[in-house]
Amino acid sequence: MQKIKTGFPLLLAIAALAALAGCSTTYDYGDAGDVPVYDTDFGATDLQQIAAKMTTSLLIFPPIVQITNERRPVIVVEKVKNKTTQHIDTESVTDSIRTKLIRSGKFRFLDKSTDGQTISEIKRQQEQGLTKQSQAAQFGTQEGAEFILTANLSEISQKKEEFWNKKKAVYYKFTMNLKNLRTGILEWSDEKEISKLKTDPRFGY
Amino acid sequence: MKKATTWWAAALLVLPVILTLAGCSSTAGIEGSSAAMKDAEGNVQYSEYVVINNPKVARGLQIVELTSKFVGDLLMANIALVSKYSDTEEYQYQFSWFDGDGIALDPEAYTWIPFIMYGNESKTIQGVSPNPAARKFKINIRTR
Repeated sequence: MQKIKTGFPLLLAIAALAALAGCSTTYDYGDAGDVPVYDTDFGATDLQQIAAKMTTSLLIFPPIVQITNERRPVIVVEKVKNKTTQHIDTESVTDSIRTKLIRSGKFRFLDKSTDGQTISEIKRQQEQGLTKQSQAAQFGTQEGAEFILTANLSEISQKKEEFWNKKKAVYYKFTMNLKNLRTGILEWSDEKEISKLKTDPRFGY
Repeated sequence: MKKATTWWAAALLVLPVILTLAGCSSTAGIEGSSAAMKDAEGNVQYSEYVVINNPKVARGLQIVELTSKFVGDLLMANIALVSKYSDTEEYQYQFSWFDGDGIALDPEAYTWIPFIMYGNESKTIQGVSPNPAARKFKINIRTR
């Protein structure tokens, strides 16, 4: 009987240690192509879904297929209008879409965000006297965009409180348009809808 | 008294093991592949196969049809799926693209896209190759 009394706390301690063994902070590499979802905020998986859908839709749209079979049109990308209540780096959404479209070999892009650096480099080439004038870049020789890519991101959030759970549903809608700058015609448009749900139990965890 | 205490101790020892194993599930799934190769006469020949790496996933989800066609010069994949469960299940898919020599195109850019299959639902998933070099695609599907 005495043996049992001393053995039991020992076993209890081993079990507690085994349970707590995984309770230290750990760091690891994750898979950028499979980012976990922890909340209803706009996340990396949403960005990847949007980029995949928009790129696929644009590349297989019949009039665009016809145009890109003949030439590689020049596109300029406008910043996404963020109509959500969250701070979202919408530029990274358009960056992903632009990268995929460039890598398809079907389009060429103008990058307005580096215009400042481009101007100072052209000035440097022309004014410092270091560059051969025959090779120096000139003002007024850049290509003009044929199309402009614009987008909106909107959000509708709903909450519901039940006895056992608190629920939150967030609906995101990403709309993208391709407009012909010379004719004003909207050549292509598509939407990607994403719904995210969160259930918080009132009791337990 | 002795027997009861021993049972309690055994239960306490086994519990952490069960809790640890509860979070373990296979990340393998089912895999479908289709190739579109041109023969000597220039006609496109298609070949398809499905590999089941996880019978549990295959019990709930079936790849009914794998088709591909060229849209312009880009390879487009079309995968018809049907759920064999009556409940809602969550899955993820990932496309991989290969050129005529079997070299993967842009492998760093492959991402897992989540999707939901409702009870006995049929669904189609589509993908387009990242560039015109693609002649073969593979789709991996696994549970979330």
